[in-house]
Amino acid sequence: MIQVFQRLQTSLEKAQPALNRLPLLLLVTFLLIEVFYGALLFSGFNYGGDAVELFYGIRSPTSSEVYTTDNHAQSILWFTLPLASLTYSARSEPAKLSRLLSHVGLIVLTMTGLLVGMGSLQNGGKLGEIRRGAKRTS
Amino acid sequence: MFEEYKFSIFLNVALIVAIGFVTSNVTPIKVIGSPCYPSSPAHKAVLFTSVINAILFYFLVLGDRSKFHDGEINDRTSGLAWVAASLLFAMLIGRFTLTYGRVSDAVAHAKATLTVVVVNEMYQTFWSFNRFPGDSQRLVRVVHAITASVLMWGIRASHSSTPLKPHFPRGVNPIIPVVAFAANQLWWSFRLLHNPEGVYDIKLTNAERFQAQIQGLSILWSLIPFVSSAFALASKPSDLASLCTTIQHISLSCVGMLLALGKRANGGLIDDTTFGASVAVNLFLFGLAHHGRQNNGTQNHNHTANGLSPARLALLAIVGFNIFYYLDLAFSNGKKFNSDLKDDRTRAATSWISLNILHVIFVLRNVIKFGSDNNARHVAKTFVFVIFLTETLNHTIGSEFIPTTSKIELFFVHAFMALSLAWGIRSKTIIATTTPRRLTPAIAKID
Repeated sequence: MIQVFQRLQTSLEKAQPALNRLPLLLLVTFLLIEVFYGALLFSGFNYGGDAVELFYGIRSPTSSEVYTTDNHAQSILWFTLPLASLTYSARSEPAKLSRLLSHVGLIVLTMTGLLVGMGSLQNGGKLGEIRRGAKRTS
Repeated sequence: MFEEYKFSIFLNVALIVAIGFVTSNVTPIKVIGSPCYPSSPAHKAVLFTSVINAILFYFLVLGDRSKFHDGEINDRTSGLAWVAASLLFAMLIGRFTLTYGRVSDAVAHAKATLTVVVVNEMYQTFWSFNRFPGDSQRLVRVVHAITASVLMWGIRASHSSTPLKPHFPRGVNPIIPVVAFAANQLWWSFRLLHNPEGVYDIKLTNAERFQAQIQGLSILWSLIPFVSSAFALASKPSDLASLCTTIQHISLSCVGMLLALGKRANGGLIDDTTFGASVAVNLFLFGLAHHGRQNNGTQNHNHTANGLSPARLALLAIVGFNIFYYLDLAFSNGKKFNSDLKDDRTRAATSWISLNILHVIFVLRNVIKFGSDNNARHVAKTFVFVIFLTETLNHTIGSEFIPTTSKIELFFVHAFMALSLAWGIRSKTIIATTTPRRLTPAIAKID
């Protein structure tokens, strides 16, 4: 066990140059995920089907539900554009990107709180099933 | 085929783990500025947009939903909660620029925000013009015009070559946010354990009452190790500042949860006054913890090598169990541990219990990562008490609600946890010593 931990430690030290690239990689991954969700939610693109049904399992959404979901989609730009710009500006500074990534960590934690608060449709929550759309009774 | 909810939870957990790993192995930069003292016109413009975002956040979270769309406001989605959260996320990115960004970063941020303002205005004009109420639309248009002007001024007046005047904030004593946070958690725990009906403002069945009391107890799961850790670190402001990071993580995840649950006036689950006060208190704690982390005393401490001691390893095992039960509860409706729950009136309680389990992970992570071996052993001792308390409750108040299979499962899990903690407390062997790859101030290691 001791040897396993020591080997892990040594290999991490050797891999420091490669590790320095990870903040940029992770920030770009996060941005791509957010842009993908934005595109999926926006009714103007209608990518992958009706977003309100796709995410919330609502078959015949009211105009206000479509409007709110569209607003949700475009609100993703409010933080992804500055984040992308800052990532590009600091692309050659791993230390700064690492700090930026820790702020993204705070964003992800807030998102986790939101998701748990929303809950799944099966358990009386709000989020449905992707692809097939869960049946909603209310 | 997979469920969006499960997929999103797994994706978020994977991102948290990956971000934790990367920020631990690539030293983040140190503080060079303060949000309260912007050092260039671009920084001032970024601060201005953050203030505007904060005002919009306030209106969106606490305001009347009808101000944001015309006609029918029956909304089964949680889009508005995400919109409010996006404003918060934009403020967090602004915090990065104001605290860690140089002039070039602030200019890049201001340019991107200007693009956001233009795109937003175009969206409102050409896409949602007939659904956004006229008065609100006019007001937002004026706000956009002013924001765009300030941003353009900031970009033109700042040049990347402008030397930055670093400002090192004085901060507050980290004990202040630690005490404020502990008092808030204790207050909620007491209220839920003593008078759950008062919190939920409805007549609860016995099973629902028990669920709400478990919610109160689950706050103690993270609060007791937190207070124990705070006591052990009380004499070292530099180490105590690391607890401020934990406060930030906990308070922001609570804000996320509150936004998703929503206030009753807008069709949510939480009483309007409690909702407004809770969002405000959690954001205040986040800000206070930010100042606690930046205390001058925290800048001059070097962390020595952290050995992977038995006590840390035992706490790591507790973290593993907590990750499992966090996911287990997040994916279930709470009936596994309370078979008499009939409807979703206390769904909020189940969600809070799940989130509180996540908070235990944040607290223990802090002890494992920043605490000394003695601190880890001290926290391990208090966690034995937490286990004893929970197990006692399971066999007294909870005996009629918790299904026998779950009771047996929990008993064995608790027994295993207690045994590993006992081993961790008694054994003094260092399993492996990690050589310090960097000796940077504690503040630089805190994410």
